[in-house]
Amino acid sequence: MIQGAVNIALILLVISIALSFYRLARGPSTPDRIIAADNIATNLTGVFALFAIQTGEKVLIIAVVALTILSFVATAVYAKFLERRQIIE
Amino acid sequence: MSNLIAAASLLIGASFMLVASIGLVRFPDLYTRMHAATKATTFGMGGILLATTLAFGTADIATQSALALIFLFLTAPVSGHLISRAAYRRGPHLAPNTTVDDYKPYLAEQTAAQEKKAREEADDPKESGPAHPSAGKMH
Repeated sequence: MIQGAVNIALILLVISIALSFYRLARGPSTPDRIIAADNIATNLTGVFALFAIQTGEKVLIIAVVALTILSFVATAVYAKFLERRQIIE
Repeated sequence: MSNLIAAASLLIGASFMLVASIGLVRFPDLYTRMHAATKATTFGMGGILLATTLAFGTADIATQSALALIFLFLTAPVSGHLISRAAYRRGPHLAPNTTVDDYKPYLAEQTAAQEKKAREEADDPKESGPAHPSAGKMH
């Protein structure tokens, strides 16, 4: 039963990633694109967690933790770039 | 029983993430889109990580899921705040039917105070050295 739920959830997450890609391509402004990229990263962590349930690989949960931290760092750096136009000062 | 709860929370979490993306596409301006993306996605990831904890049922997976969840709950509001502040300072493109904008008077007050400080420093060269051409700019 949990395998069926995992399959349905994967389909929902793929639709969600496709919608975020629409926003990433459409814009209209740079912050919109950054939010869309952040949303894609969070959805990808969800996909990783679903793959962990589906295959029984425990390592993928560690990948979820790493990807969460990495997406936050990326978004923070993007925000700093938007505000000051330079990343390293 | 735990499988049933895991499947239910998995479906609830995934549908919340789908709702977040629909909001990201459908909402009229950046701030409402950010609101959809940060809140609903965080809750959805909570459901999915609860499902992994229940599906594996071991202590190490529970610890790692809790760690990921704590990081997500800490970082999602912070990154949303950073992005929306940077976007507002670049030029607020609010939706036309926005009624309340509390940040605008605060930002005007801050810029006025900064300009006043820069003018005082420029008038008083003894204390702060020669007036620098970029004295009034924000760094």
